[in-house]
Amino acid sequence: MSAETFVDTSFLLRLYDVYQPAKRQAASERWRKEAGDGLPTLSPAILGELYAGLMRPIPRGAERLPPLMPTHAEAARAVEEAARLRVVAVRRETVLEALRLRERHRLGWWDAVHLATACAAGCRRILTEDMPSAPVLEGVTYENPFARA
Amino acid sequence: MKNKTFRLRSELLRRAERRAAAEDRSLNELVESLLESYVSAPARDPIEAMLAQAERLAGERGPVEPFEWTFTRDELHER
Repeated sequence: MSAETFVDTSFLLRLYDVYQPAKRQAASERWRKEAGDGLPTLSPAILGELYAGLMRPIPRGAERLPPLMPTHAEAARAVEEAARLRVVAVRRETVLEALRLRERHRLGWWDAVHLATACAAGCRRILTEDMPSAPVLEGVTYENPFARA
Repeated sequence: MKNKTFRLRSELLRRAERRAAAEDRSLNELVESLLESYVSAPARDPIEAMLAQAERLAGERGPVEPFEWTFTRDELHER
């Protein structure tokens, strides 16, 4: 079920990544697989990261290339569509659990928050390009659709 | 049939009444017709909508020299 898929920002950004066509293609194909079987899960924190990532200039060495979205309106539209997926709350208990997961698995803070959110939402996999040291944490499998892209 | 109370902007209501009258329709008929269209239309799938927007933007941007890049999680949270 798609609801069991937690979507990370690193995956969502690739849907719009004109600078990496192979990854954009891989992201689109994986995204289509999620359609038709409920809606994938994400959190308000992911929505915030998505907007930031869409509007941030792209680094190429010392250069800064145009962001993935040409305007605020386009970025807002993408976030509004993403907000129609299964958005689950980051609750107080989720943050407290993230504190524990951060220590147990040596995760960055936001990685721990997203894992705790995925666990609380009953997700079994995380679609991401940022793989942790182990492919399965707390029973949640990290899947990188770009491993061969 | 059921009765329902709505709050609408006065100006919008005045324009809708004027147009409905010009078309010889009641405001009730107009609202019923709009609601019928709304519930009959297939719900937009956000996944397809995101893909369509991405496709459109890639087309509008035109050819871009490919290269690898990434953001760290911390960069996404920078102020």
